Amino acid sequence: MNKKENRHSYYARLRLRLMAAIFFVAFVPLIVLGGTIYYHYSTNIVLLIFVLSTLVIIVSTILITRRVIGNLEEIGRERAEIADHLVQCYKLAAIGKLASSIAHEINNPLAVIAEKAGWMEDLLSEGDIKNDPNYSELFKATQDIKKHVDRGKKITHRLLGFVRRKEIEYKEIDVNLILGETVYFLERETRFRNINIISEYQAHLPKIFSDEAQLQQVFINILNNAIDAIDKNGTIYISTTSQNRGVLVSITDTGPGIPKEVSERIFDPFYTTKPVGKGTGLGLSTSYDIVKRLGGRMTVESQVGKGTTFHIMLPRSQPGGRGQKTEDRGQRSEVRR
Amino acid sequence: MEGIKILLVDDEEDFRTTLASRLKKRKLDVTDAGSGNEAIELVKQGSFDVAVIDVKMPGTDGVETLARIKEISPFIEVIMLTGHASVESGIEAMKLGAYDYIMKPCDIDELLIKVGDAYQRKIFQEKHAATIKRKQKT
Repeated sequence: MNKKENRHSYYARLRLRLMAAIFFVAFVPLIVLGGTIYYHYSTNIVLLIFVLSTLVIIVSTILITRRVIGNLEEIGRERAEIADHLVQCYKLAAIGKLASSIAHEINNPLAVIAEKAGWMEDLLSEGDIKNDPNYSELFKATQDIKKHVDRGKKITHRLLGFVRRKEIEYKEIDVNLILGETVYFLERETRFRNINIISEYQAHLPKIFSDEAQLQQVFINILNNAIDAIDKNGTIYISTTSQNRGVLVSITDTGPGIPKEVSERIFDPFYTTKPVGKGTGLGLSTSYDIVKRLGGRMTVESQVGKGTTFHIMLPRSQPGGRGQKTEDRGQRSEVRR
Repeated sequence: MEGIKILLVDDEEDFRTTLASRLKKRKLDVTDAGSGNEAIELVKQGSFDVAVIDVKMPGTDGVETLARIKEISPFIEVIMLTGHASVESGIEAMKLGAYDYIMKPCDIDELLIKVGDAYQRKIFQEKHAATIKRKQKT
């Protein structure tokens, strides 16, 4: 917030200075010229022309500065966005490395614990122990150990999945179709919670080159978050629009919204506001990572008390155009047209 | 499933011995080895149906062990155990001739199913090879 205000006042000051400079540069010769002419022929017409040209100078100065500063401001904003994006990428890469090494180290002891619990369970199923008064307690304990190893395993495997660079399989896909499928997956859950999903898909949406499975994962993650945010009774709006360079998917929920300090960290790995054991804090950062690798951008917009919108911008063709199979090339140029 | 000869290779002793006991309890004929080299020696001496090998081991790692075992005894089917971020190495191993891979911590039933399938393939491959040999003779 502070940074933004600073930036704003910087541009305001720059604007004033530029205005003064242009005004003086144009005004000084006018005074000299006008003064000389007035000195020789002191008529009212000359005075009128002098006043008029001063007005013209003022107006054009204002117009020019507004235009120039507007452009500058835009460039500055874009640069700041790119810098934010870069910081996010570095964070993801660094934490990814750390995460995989931790997952490594935890997985092996987990495997031993699971085997030991399994072995105890095997032994408990034998002969006399079954008649022991403590049998059921012991059996339940082994089941609980297994259950919690499973919980740990889910986390380590998700961590590894987060780090693992799955190879992207590009093909021509219809984003509307994938969204439709994803919504269908979640229909039971939304009906149960009385959440209404309103889809506004653009008809004849141009097909894009992307990875179907990975995009589906992104949509499921975001929709799941939207459902969790709403909890019960609410609406999720999904829309697709064709844009210059690709397709924009917007998913809006009528949940409680995200406060500023949370939305700044929302794509950070392991950042979660869900209760312990509910969320790993990897869903959105994985999604962010996937969209980034598919050459797109994901942003969040939220108002506390009103709801949250995720925008996912997907490029029409794959980034760099490398690794494309030859038979696909013809299709791609067709899509571009 | 009974009597399938299994070679279990993992450097983590607690894991290896416990899994071996559990498999033995399910009537499988299990031999265990704590390192790649030990496994290779065992393959030279005896015959096995299925080998279950951990990818990440000090010294001769799982992928190398797989390659050496396949050289010595091509009909052994191999299942790789991956304990770390190595789905890639699991897939790499499958390119080198492993039957399948399974991620640690693994469910014993899942492992048993894969062992059973691998054994089926081994029997099939051996029969197939024998038929080809017979045909070549005639």
